[in-house]
Amino acid sequence: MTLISGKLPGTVVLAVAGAAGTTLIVTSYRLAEWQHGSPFPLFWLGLLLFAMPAIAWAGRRDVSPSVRLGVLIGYAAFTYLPKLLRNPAGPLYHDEFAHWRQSQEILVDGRLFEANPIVRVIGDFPGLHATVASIAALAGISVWQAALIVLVLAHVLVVLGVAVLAADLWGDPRVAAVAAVIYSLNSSFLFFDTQFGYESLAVPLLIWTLVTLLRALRAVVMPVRLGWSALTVLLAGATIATHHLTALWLIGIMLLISTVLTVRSCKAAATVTAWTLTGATAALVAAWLIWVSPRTAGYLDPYFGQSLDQAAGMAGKHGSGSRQLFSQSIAPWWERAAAFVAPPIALAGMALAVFRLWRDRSGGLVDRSARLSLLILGSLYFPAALLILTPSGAEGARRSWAFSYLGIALVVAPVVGALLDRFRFISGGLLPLTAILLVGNVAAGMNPSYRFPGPPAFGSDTRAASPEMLAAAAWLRRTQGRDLRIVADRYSGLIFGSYGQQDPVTGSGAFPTYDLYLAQPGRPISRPLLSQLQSWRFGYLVVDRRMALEVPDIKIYFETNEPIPHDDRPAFTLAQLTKFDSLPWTIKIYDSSNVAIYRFDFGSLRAGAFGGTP
Amino acid sequence: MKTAHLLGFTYPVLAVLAFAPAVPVLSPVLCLATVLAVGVLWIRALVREPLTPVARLGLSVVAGLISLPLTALVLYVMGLRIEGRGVAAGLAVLATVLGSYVLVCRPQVGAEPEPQESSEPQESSEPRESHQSHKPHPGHWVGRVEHGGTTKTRRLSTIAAVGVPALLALLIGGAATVVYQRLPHPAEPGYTSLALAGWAAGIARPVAIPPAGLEVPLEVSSAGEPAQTADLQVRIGERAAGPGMPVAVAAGTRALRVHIPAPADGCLHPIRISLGPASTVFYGRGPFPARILTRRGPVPC
Repeated sequence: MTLISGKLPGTVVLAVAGAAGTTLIVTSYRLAEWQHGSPFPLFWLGLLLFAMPAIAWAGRRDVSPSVRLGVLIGYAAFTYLPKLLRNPAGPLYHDEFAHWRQSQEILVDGRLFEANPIVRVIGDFPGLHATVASIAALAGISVWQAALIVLVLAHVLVVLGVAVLAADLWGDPRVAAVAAVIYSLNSSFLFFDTQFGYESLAVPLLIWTLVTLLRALRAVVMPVRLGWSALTVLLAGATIATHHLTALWLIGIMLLISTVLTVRSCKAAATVTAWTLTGATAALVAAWLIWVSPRTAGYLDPYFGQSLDQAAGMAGKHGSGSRQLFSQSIAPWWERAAAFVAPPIALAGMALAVFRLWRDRSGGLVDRSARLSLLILGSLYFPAALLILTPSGAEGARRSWAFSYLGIALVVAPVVGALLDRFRFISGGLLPLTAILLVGNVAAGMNPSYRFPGPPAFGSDTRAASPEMLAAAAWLRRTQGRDLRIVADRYSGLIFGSYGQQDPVTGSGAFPTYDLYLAQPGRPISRPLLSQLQSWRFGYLVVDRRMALEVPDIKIYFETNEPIPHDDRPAFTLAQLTKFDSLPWTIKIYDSSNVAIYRFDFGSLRAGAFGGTP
Repeated sequence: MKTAHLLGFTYPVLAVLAFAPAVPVLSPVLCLATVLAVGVLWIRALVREPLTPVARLGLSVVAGLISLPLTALVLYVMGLRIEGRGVAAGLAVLATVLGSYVLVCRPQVGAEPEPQESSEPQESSEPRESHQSHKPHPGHWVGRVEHGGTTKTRRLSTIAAVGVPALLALLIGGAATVVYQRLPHPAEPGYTSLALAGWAAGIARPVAIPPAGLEVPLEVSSAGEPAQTADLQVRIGERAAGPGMPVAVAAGTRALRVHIPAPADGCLHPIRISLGPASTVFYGRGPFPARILTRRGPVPC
């Protein structure tokens, strides 16, 4: 920090730190892929090598606004680097395959709202895909390149948006920078909300909607208020068209602000404006969910319902429905420890924020109401942290942190600012605390197989794109065409549904295509399932024989709630998977070391050519 | 930049993007500049109070980005394809509407001086102790009196604040990405595949095999495995149709043809063609009556 305080130009220090940090991150990724040692220490060393001086610089009081702006942009850009280096050339994470395909389809077919076979609702929320496809079409670049441009911009917009929001709320540029940094410690910031997924664009849209909302509420002149209100509705509309869950969170936050405003002063113009804008946003969301995407409720319901059931089960006598954190994780002990320490640190920060808000009477009606609303929003982080212990709730809990941490960041930032003002000696202690939060939250939020490259592994979303699987998908598209309905497991479904441009189904309770694989040789296969496959014109079956040889890395063969045992042994036998070689209604048209493609011949099935099966 | 200048920039750039072939680096930069220009028009049309540089920048980028899905949605509703020229035309119309509104209804906006320089209060670097004494819209992000400077220097410092980290990020991130991609990576597991090709790739039901037999085209692909020789075998039902034929399998794709003799009866048989461990299976019927010949005479299949 002394370097930045004057002996060397700060820009040079940060540039050197950035280059050195980048080198360490690259080295850690290479360690991981070559399995030459643990990548974790080098990764964090590289990240913190830049992040710590940048945070220290942004948090100083004697920094000019433009320098602070520059540091924040640099910080945002640098924190995108781990994800960029993870997959610079194409999709890698589960949802990325779906969003990449969706954008690709717009570019090829020129249509929105096409059904997506990998994540079924995303076609109904085309905000991100239309943005990416439009840039790709205008600039003559690939969908992936266009996506990287949009995602980097969105990542920077998150940091700047939180800073602007905090600056509006607290009137202190340093608190603004601190709030942006605190928000960046949330578990989704480094890897999840940087992926090619609709959240990555929707979260900055939500943040900037809140910026315009608060300005609309503060405005005292009608034309000014109308202008900000129009912008709020525009941004809220864009949020809805981009991501369902973020739109619901936006309504929730707007409702909170409106309610708190009403309690404080029900007749104030700001209150009327708040309810008007909340009502308009809610109407837009309702209209979208009713007319454009009626299946969203059905898509989200299992996550809510099952997580609540499992939470109830956990609280019950037998403790059923719980999951063990970091079970079989390769994360080092200090990452796990940081993950357990992070919530108490956040709790301490929130306790201090409550104390400060209680004593602080500054600000107008809107500011004070917004701060209280954000305090409530931030407090939602803690019950969600408990849901992480349930298998179905874990995913939702992690995703909620991107929103609840916004509340934490905006109310804890002035506490940090005050501590820095009053106790200068404390600044040295806050940086390690920041590092612990960053390490712990990221460890709690993202599986190491998503964070680091590694050797080929069966049953891992991030390692599904093996040359063998890509070749099979390419062969099917080249010889049979695209948009074919195929039955597949989760991992081949990702590749055939994205690179292969097919429409895979990977099974569900209502359409249990995994029963095809589960059937024992010589035993009948469910006739209703076969009728469903035939009437829905499914033409092909993909079989990955590794299902009989290995246990999937993430313990899922087809879908999260599959009725398949998950223990240390593969759930299938080779006979179950090779039985299709001798069924007269499955024609084996392609075979490689592990992957076979069969064409259904339902005509022979009807004729019962060979008898016995199904 | 005045609104008229902004429009004067947007139209030709959109025309270039729509009709000229894409130029690496330049086209994406022009595309982003246009998106930003449309975003600036949105802000000029809707925001009627001073904005800090960071707020103006952020809002302009956000508004510009959402103009793209908005344009795409309008094209979709109008039944038009979403492609480069359509999006460019849509953005031009949007820019025209926004620009006209600003020029007609708010002529003072966009003319010099810039909004935040007109009447915005400059604040000290100390935290604001009480909001009561401030105007409803705080302009605290702008900075401090001692860093105020002239319009030109402030604008330059904002451009530098955005440009320098962006340039450094591009250089460092770009170099790291290129280096990381070019460094050697562990070899992925190899594979050898066998597939029906040509007309055979379209086999969807049992094949009628003529008395002279069938020529079945095949495709063999291999990658990441050492060159080897594998036996190409044909089995009709449980019987081998002949001795295996050694086939050299090397990296790359090659076409093969294999002869399938007609079965001795008219019954349906699985026909398995295998190359090493990989195989294809389809079903065929010989040109004879559908009976199996046994010692006691022909019986139905």
